[in-house]
Amino acid sequence: MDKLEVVGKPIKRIDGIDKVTGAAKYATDITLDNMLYAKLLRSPHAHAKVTHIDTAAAENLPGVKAVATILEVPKVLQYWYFLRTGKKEKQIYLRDNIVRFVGDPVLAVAAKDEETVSKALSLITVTYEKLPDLQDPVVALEEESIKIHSKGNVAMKAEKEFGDIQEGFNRADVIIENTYHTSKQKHASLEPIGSCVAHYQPDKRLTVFSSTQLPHWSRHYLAGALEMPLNKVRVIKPYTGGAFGGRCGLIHGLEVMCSWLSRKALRPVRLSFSREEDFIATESRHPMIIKMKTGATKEGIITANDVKIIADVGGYGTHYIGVIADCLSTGGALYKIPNYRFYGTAVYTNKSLCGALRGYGNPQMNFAQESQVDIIAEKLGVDPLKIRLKNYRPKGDMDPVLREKIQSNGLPECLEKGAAEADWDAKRCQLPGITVIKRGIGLSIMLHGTGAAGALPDPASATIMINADGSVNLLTAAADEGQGNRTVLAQVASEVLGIDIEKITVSDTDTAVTPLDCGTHGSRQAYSGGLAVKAAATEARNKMLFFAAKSLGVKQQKLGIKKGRIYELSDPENNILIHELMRQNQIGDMSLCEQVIGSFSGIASAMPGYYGAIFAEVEVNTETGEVRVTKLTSAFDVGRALNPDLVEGQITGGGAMGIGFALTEGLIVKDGHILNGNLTDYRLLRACDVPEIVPIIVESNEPTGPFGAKGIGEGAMVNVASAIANAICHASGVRLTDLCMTPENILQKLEEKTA
Amino acid sequence: MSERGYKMSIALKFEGYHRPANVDQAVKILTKYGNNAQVIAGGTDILPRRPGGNNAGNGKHLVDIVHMGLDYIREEKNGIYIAAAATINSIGAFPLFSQTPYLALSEALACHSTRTIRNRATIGGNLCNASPCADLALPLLVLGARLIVAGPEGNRQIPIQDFYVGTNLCALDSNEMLLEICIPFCEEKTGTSFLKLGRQQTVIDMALVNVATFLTMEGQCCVTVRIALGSVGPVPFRAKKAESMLTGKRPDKKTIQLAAEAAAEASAPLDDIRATAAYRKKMAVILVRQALENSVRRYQA
Ligand SMILES: Cc1cc2nc3c(=O)[nH]c(=O)nc-3n(C[C@H](O)[C@H](O)[C@H](O)COP(=O)(O)OP(=O)(O)OC[C@H]3O[C@@H](n4cnc5c(N)ncnc54)[C@H](O)[C@@H]3O)c2cc1C
Repeated sequence: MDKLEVVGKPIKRIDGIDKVTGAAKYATDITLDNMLYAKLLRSPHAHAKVTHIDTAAAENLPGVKAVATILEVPKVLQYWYFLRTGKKEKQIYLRDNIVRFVGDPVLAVAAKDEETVSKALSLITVTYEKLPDLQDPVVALEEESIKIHSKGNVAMKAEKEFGDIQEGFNRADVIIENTYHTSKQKHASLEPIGSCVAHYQPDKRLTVFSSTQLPHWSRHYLAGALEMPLNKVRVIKPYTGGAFGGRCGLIHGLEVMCSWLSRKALRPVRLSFSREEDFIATESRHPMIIKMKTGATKEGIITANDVKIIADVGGYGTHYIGVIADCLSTGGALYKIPNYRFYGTAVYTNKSLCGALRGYGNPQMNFAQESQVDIIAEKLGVDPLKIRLKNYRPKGDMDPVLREKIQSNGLPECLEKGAAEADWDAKRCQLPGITVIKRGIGLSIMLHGTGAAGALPDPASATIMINADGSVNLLTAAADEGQGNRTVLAQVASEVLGIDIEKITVSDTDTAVTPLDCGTHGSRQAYSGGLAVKAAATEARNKMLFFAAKSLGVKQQKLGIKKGRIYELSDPENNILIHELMRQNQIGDMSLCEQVIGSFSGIASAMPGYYGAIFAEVEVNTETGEVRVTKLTSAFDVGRALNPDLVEGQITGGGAMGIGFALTEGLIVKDGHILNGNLTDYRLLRACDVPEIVPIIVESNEPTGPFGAKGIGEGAMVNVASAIANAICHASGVRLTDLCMTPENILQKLEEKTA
Repeated sequence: MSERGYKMSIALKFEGYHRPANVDQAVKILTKYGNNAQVIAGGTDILPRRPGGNNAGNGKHLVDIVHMGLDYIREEKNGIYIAAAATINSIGAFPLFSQTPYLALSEALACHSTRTIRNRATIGGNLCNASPCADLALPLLVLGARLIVAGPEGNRQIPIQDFYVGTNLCALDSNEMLLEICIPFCEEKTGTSFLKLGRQQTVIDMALVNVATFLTMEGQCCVTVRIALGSVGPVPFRAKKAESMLTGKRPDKKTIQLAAEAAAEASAPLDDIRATAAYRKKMAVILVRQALENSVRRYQA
């Protein structure tokens, strides 16, 4: 293809005007005629059996239209890993009388207004038989008398080894072993998680407005839970205020409950969680205990890595299989460590459930592994940058987990450009300073997969319809959570079709209209969605060329398209405007009356890794223990930046989220209660807290990607915490192994060091 | 005076909203509704409260005092008078406060919340809310401020160290309101300082520990020393024992350190989700020491 016109340009977001003018409607803004309001009653206990529910008084209250309880409404578990087989599909649904964490939904009431709902909830009595609860995953792992789920407390155990771990350690000159703990981070997206409007109509059709990342899979689970055929369930995803994985599937207690109420009342129902409900009762990042033993030769070649992970799943399992698998696939493939052993255990506890959160296990794993690599570098006196260059797995190697050949890897360029911008060589040699404020710099690298082709059912589809005036409707279910992928898909279509982006309208996400897409996860939409749009647009382009060839009297292969005009390559004067051709096709030629439509549905050919290097600069106050990140330099290989502004947005936002993960965030749970479940106490970084973040885009041109693109969304936060931990160590000489890293921790380590 | 039933989009609900034109009217309304009334100034403490949070049930009748001309700052013979409803930003812009003796005050004003909140938040609200971590309490404690309070029987004065009765509890009766704050003039060379520690990587935060110091000297020795600590006890307080350890002494490194330790010893911080008591206590030592060092340096400059 000749020079790109639209792809690679910082095109303005197509949803920008709607958002800044407030015209954009989010799920909780949607109001339907006759709509009822619903609210959940949540468990005050961490673990209990519901022995009796008395709803009579509530149901007699005027204005109350429906009550639904967990005794009838199934909970939806273990997202999408069990989509594949009919037999396992049954295991997705759990209907029982046990509540498994404080805030676990017990029932819901729908009534004519919110006051009536509150009144009704106060009239309901639930009798609980308290059960002993388990908060500590290590205890839960051993405990046999208390079972959180009927099969026990161990959700899964995974084991994988390649090479020979013992041999790897035999060859090592230095072996280190450490245990890392990571926190229960929350998405804290601008729009609280948990908003939907469900409308079940008498003709047995259900329409659900939900800000889900996975509209089609949500429809799949919903249809299963309500035992309805897929075509009767319609999921519409309105504008969404951020997701970060928190909407990766159905929300616990939301869509199914709301639909159930609507089916009972035969009226639309809106159920919206408050910010506090989002904090205490929707998914969070899996806290992990990671024990890692790493060996290397004195030249700094890593020979073995032995990993043992215990992941705290919380009361219900949703994404743990994928999260554990991602720890292995990212950790095992980043470096060419020949001998690798991995044990992953996912354990239930009586805490709020854990699921997908930007990075999907990788930030935890990366924190441990990148700390280990730095410790080894320090022990051997090797530059941390050089040890990475020595060990990273380059283009051309096989990915040992995915068993795919690595077709692009821009890590060396990320390291080189990042080091130059951060002035790594000079700063790394600088002494930390003689005042109580010590300065340091640290780095870390990461690999994250783009999409999940091969690992999961991971379809993407698109349909392009060209109108009589040369404008285009692009139908896609590639849910845009705010990152801007609808804009990027419009760019891809515009590029292929040779039609101005202003003339392209991207559909809303609506399962009744937009073809199958597994949804937005795994940094996949620019890649998988982009490939689908590119294929659909190519089909439409070829059809246009076919018609143009006839009209211009030249062979199809001799034609080009530019700015809405199809022309003969060797004689541009011989041309036709697309809109003239399309009008002729659709309206003018009554024997034809054909719209040019291009479609694609299928799966990407690969799951390419994208890479990044982050350089963190910090100040450590050795008196107060405070850490201040003063600058992040984040260089990421995204294959090709289809829209550099949006890529930089992801890198910067990921940096901010990563600093939070490193220094300030994490839910604090005491005796099963979350103590900081609000935005005052849960310390997110605000704009004024975010240091300078310099995004650097590296383009390695992934051959399987649309115009060479891979992903960026998740990776941008993955290795921030490890870079900061490494910088803290450089500044102060202390190594922190627990997230988030608190001043008290640092002081304690400093004291231990001087003692 | 307008009176209307108001329903705000924020969770707070109240029965009456009053806008008295002057102090007399305000006191009358307060007297009429007693415990059922509450003064509102900038509202930055009152409005974010949620039902079930502290003081939430209090606001049945809100008495808005921001339109009564209570926003002046003026120098009189015996001191500077700041009206209770003067905003944090307007006080910060008062030229005298950028002079050395008042640096503790201007430093506290600058650390208070954000620029936009400081446009609404008032000094009176900060004091009367009686939060143990209120930033302005500390410079006012070391500057020896007096509070002038209006009530049905006229005005009375309360020295600031007697103003705090308990957490979120001040010495005002339900029919009284704070009118103005008087800061006595300081001798020209007085060295003061305010320091605040919040959570890391957080530019704007309620304090984990905040302190203010005040110091005058004669020759090499301290004459008047005042040390105030916040966020490490039920109320902001003066550390008198620590003060006396410096009075008449040379403020050398060791004496300052011992005084700082004594000041922290007088604190009784709590463990909470933001920090442990032990950490707060440790930090109190460091902050008092640094603030004293600043004060000495400023005095000697
Ligand atoms: C985001 C945010 C950040 C903040 N950061 C800080 C900070 O860094 N440091 C800090 O100290 N505070 C901080 N605050 C708290 C608050 O802004 C201050 O305490 C502020 O000065 C209160 O003033 P106000 O006029 O808004 O008080 P209001 O909310 O109007 O009133 C507070 C209390 O004082 C009473 N009151 C007010 N005026 C009078 C009067 N004249 N007589 C009698 N009673 C009266 C009210 O009845 C109420 O009980 C912050 C608040 C927010 C929302």
